[in-house]
Amino acid sequence: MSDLPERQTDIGPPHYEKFLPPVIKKNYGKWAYHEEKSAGVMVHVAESGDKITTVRVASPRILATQSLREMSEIADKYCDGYIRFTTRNNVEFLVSDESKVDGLVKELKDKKYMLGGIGSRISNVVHTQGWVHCHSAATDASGLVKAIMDELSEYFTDKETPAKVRLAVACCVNMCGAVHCSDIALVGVHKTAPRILDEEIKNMCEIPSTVASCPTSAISPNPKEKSVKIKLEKCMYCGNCYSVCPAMPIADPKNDGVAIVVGGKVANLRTVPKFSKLAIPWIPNNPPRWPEVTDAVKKILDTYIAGAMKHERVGEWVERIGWEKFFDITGLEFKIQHVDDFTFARETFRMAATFKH
Amino acid sequence: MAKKYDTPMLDELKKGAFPSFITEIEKATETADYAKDLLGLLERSFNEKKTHWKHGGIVGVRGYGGGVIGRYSDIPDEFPGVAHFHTVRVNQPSGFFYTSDALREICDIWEKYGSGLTNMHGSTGDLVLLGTNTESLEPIFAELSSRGWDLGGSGSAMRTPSCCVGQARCEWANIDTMAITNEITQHYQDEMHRPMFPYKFKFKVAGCACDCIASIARADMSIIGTWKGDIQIDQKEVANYAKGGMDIQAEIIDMCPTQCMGYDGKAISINNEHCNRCMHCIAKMTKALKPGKERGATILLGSKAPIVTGALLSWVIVPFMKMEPPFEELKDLIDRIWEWWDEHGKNRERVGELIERLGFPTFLKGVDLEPHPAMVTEPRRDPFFFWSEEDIEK
Amino acid sequence: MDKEEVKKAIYDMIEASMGKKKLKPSDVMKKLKADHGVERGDGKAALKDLMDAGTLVYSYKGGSYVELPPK
Ligand code: HEM
Ligand code: HEM
Ligand code: HEM
Ligand code: HEM
Ligand code: SF4
Ligand code: SF4
Ligand code: SF4
Ligand code: SF4
Repeated sequence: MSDLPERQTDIGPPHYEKFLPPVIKKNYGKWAYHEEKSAGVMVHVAESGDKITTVRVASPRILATQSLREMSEIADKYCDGYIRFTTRNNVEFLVSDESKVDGLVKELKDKKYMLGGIGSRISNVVHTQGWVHCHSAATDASGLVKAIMDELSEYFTDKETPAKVRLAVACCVNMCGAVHCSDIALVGVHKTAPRILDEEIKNMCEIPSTVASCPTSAISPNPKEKSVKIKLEKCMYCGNCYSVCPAMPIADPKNDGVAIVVGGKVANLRTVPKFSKLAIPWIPNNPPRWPEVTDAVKKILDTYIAGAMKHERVGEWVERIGWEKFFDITGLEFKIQHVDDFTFARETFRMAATFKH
Repeated sequence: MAKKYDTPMLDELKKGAFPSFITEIEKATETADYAKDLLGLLERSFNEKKTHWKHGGIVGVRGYGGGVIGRYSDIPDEFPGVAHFHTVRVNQPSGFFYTSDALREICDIWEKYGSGLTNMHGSTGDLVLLGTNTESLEPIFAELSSRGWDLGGSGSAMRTPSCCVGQARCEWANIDTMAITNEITQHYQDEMHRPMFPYKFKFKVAGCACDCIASIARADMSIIGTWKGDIQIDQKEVANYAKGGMDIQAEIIDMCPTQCMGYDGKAISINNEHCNRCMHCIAKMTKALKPGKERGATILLGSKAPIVTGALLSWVIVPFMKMEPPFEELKDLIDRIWEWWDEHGKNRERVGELIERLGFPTFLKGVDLEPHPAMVTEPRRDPFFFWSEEDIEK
Repeated sequence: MDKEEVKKAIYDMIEASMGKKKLKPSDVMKKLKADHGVERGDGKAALKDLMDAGTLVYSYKGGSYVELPPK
């Protein structure tokens, strides 16, 4: 290994200026406005009159180096090599020479890239890890994203929605990602507490650290078996204990499934940012395409599109019509799980005599 | 290419309009063997509806307490190719801008030493390299760092800060999000690479209240650009929007949350004193309306995911702060917050949870911030408040 | 204490903790201060040396800890 270059530490990331197209450097902080030319093309115009065109395409976020090389080649051909990624993991080609835009769009389409995601549409789906690696996943993430986006692709590439619709997927209740603030989000849920394999716990696990791992103090020692026990009513199925003690498996294929939460947002426009609220507590996992889940998402989306005013996000629409009306017109069943009994439950009880029948 | 395993479930996910992650994993089988076993393992999960990974081991390269995430299969005998499948977090350039040469540089290293699979990007913001073995970690770090790349954060440390595109390409950016992000990242390299905190700490910087980086939901400290003074109006452009078919009364005036706008069929008027700077009108009439001239940021603190005590969004701790390089006022505030958190925080307690436990007033005193009505939506409803020594007549 | 002594104190502390309650870096700093009056900055510098040399390593178990390297 002596031919390795010398390592450096604490140098931080390369400075972003190295990667900015000259037209951006020149007009940095001096952009006047932008225009959406189509679902996948927008033009930003600077006070100086200079322009930069952005062509946005979808990405599954997991990308092989071959794909990065192909994108780099395309960027070389049309964008002087400049390319960026968005927060929602789309890829953006940055074209300084307007005459190259049509060629770029044509080449991307020929190569089957999916152009879109700009404007009042569905953009890429923020998601977590799922069966591709996480140990506490109650459902897959990338597979669900793929299944849903295949169904809804026209809302990315073409059709408009009343306002932006932000989708997200988290594969368990830990919700790594802003799933709790999305217009429509899918969350993997376990219905059952971890199993306790007494025999294996004895050999594999440290009792004190297993007990300490539980955020709700549901676990206590079981000295008779040299094992632990779980107070079932306290367990919130987070899977932390399983991370610590592999003899407490939480995966339960028959009972693991997907919940749908709706009406969250992070933008401050018009109304304050909102958390998503429970629409459907459980749908079984049905890979590889989860048809029951995609149907439910489409039903909610269609009802929103039919009922919302222009610029109204899903959460704003539901708040205007009322949640009781939401269940009424979507036909979703209101179940005992919809009534909150967690930390902030009290604030969700209706403390008024006014509601819609 | 000959497949190592039959994967009918995964093959189904190669169909359809949206780009397929399975296709990507298949491509990666051409540069290294990891992805072959990854496909086998994943097919197994799809069949059994169950995950096959476990946590583990390595957290960094020599001297670092983060940047590498150890990952192991729970059935390594059946899928030896992914027995080790560690993740390397590479700190992304602010704003996620690259050149093709920079991307190829990363590809060259990753094809040589890893699986060839990447995440562009992780939700924290890092350029994530997915899947390599323990022996390759030091060579990867030497290759990366000698070319000017460094690792991001993980563990109980400052996590890789990230931001929206900001002034590089957005007319609404009130602050230089990329400069702020780069400055925080560089200034706090030690806090990022050598975990010293009770738990993780994330920064996200958004140029305006649209918050395209979702900072208010995903960062311990959310820095959101805003302004003071009157919204700048170009009445000629207002007329153009009307001519273009926009129903200004319905789409703009009636949707203004503070009802502070008027329109007489020709010109827009705004009672700026009552504007809460929500961005609705500006975002919908980008040519006609611009933020006021005095620019700065609102600093919010404390968001986290729901588990254990319920989800938190960040809330206001500084209503308005000027944001000019070298951002001393911000750094000073960060130092005070970290010191207070370090002193009082329990293991695995996010700063927002600590404030809930000890009380917002205790935090304000502890980090020396003046209370301000912008910090709450309403004052308290109960009479159970406390006084300190100096409030009491002796 | 000079840096070598601080390093020794840290190493001994970690060695003693192995198999018992794991120590976080900030626990190490607090103990150094309490037991030996070592300031945080000096403690951090000494810990950095030990990490750079690979004498000690960080681990992550739902939080970051300091440990001896695995055998
Ligand atoms: C065993 C449990 C958990 C695992 C394995 C896990 C893992 C992860 C991973 C791998 C990430 C992305 C990497 C990162 O941002 O550092 C992440 C992000 C995150 N996690 Fe967790 N996490 C767990 C529990 C939790 C808990 C208990 C909380 C809340 C208290 C939480 C809140 C978050 C948040 C807010 C993010 C950031 C998302 C973002 O930056 O967009 N996670 N988690
Ligand atoms: C005491 C046992 C453990 C507990 C309670 C635990 C819990 C957690 C939690 C809550 C998270 C997500 C929070 C976060 O990202 O900071 C997490 C992430 C993670 N854990 Fe564990 N875990 C344990 C053991 C382990 C072990 C033994 C390893 C490996 C040796 C490990 C490796 C990881 C990794 C790599 C992540 C993602 C790291 C990151 O995002 O920084 N964990 N764990
Ligand atoms: C379709 C493929 C995959 C997707 C979409 C995906 C997605 C993610 C996401 C969203 C995170 C959170 C990281 C962050 O947001 O910062 C993550 C983290 C992680 N992923 Fe994956 N992942 C994929 C494949 C894999 C594979 C195959 C492995 C290895 C077996 C893996 C290992 C990890 C590890 C160890 C982490 C935690 C560390 C980190 O975030 O850097 N992922 N992945
Ligand atoms: C109605 C309110 C919103 C408006 C008017 C708006 C407008 C925009 C515009 C014009 C851009 C392009 C900026 C650029 O890259 O030059 C953009 C980018 C983006 N928006 Fe928004 N946005 C809104 C809300 C949101 C929300 C709520 C989210 C996420 C939950 C979001 C996520 C994004 C993302 C991820 C990007 C790409 C950012 C990047 O390039 O880094 N936006 N938005
Ligand atoms: S949401 Fe849950 S299952 Fe998914 S990656 Fe995060 S911790 Fe793992
Ligand atoms: S799953 Fe979570 S809440 Fe349930 S026992 Fe395990 S650690 Fe506790
Ligand atoms: S947060 Fe505001 S400034 Fe940043 S990209 Fe979004 S709209 Fe532009
Ligand atoms: S920014 Fe929001 S509150 Fe202010 S005038 Fe515009 S719509 Fe009204």
